[in-house]
Amino acid sequence: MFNYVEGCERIHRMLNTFLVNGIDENHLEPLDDLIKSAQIDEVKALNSYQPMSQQRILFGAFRNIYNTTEEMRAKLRIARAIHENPKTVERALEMIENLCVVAPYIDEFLTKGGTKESGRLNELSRALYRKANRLGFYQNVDAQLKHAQIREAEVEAFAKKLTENIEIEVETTDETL
Amino acid sequence: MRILVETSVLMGASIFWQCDGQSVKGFSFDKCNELLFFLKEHPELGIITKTIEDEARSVLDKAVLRTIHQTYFTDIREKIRTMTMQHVVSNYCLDRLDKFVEECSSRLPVDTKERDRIKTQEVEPFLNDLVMKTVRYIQPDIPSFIKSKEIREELTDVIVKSLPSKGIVYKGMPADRDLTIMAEATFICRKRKNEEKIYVASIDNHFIPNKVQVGSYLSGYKKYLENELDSTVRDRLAAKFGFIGDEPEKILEAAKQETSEQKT
Repeated sequence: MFNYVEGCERIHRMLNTFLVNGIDENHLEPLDDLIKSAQIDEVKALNSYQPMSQQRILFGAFRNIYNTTEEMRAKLRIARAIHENPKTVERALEMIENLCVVAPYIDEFLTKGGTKESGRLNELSRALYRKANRLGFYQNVDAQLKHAQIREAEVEAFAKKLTENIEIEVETTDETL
Repeated sequence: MRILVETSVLMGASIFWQCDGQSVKGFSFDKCNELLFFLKEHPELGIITKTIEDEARSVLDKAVLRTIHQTYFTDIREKIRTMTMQHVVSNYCLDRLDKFVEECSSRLPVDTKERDRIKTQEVEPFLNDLVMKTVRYIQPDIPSFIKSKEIREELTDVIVKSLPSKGIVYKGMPADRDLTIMAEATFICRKRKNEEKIYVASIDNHFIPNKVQVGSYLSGYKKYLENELDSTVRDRLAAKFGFIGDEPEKILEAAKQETSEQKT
């Protein structure tokens, strides 16, 4: 079982080394491990016996970790290729702090099979997403959909259903229909 | 004037998806979006309280969960695809919501103790009394032995036309969250000592004049009377508590007029 707190600490050490010695593409294993684990644990969350609301929060957290670290790896490779000054590494270090905050909640789920503070995890996961977006460490929507092999028509159908359900929730449906 | 943006309007403008030139939006998107676009240029007029913001997030969560529950997963791959989709769409909608909250409003302090007092001791009892005298829709008394759907519908229309008074149309007791928002609007009105008008922009029938609906329970016939709005409850709320609930397009009109008057 992958330990996310430890995983984040390894990435932190890796980035600090990059800051001093420059980016080394051959030493990106801590990131590779975290990406791989997040992808596996996404499925684990959806296969768990947790209620759907909890599954959704856990899935969201794993997806945010996956997208952020995947994009971070790509950005670090680009930074290495263009011999960039340590801007990307500094940003990655800033980003990893948010990951470190989410990691204990994820570990709690993996070891205990559930998390008591799912509301807090949801908040932190959203904060992770927002920070990743701000720092440019989040895949854009098109890339995410392409990667998951989801067609635009499917998203449209989902959004349409969601719109109807929102109208039910806020009690604005047309009662003559 | 100040405009308190209610949950339904905030959600109405946030739920939007655009791809390949095509867009998915609710029936109220345009009017809600227009108001929020106006407020973006005049953020000093907009109010979005924490309660409304939290409520909007919770509504989105519930609606997303409902949508997931309506989806049948043949296998885990299908489930992953649906969950990925909801993740992308709900993040997109939440981004819009965050943007509206950040750009279109100022946040006034709300004394939660006083708000809760107003809610439980003033707004709730007032509406509890009022809804006893209201109807959800007008249903003329047609004998049940008239079974034909067409005749029942025709009779309904004829009787409704000849009614001297149609009664007060209102959609029943508002939910707890609506009462909280009403109490917040009242609190803001009192805090500002009724110096300026406080509008509540909403598409929820509990805040705005209700369309007059007639129907026959036995035939399932329902329709709205054209151009007929019953503003009785809205007006009584305005007279008692100070806030004026209305649809976003009407508030937008009033706001545009006021800002243009101020300029001249």
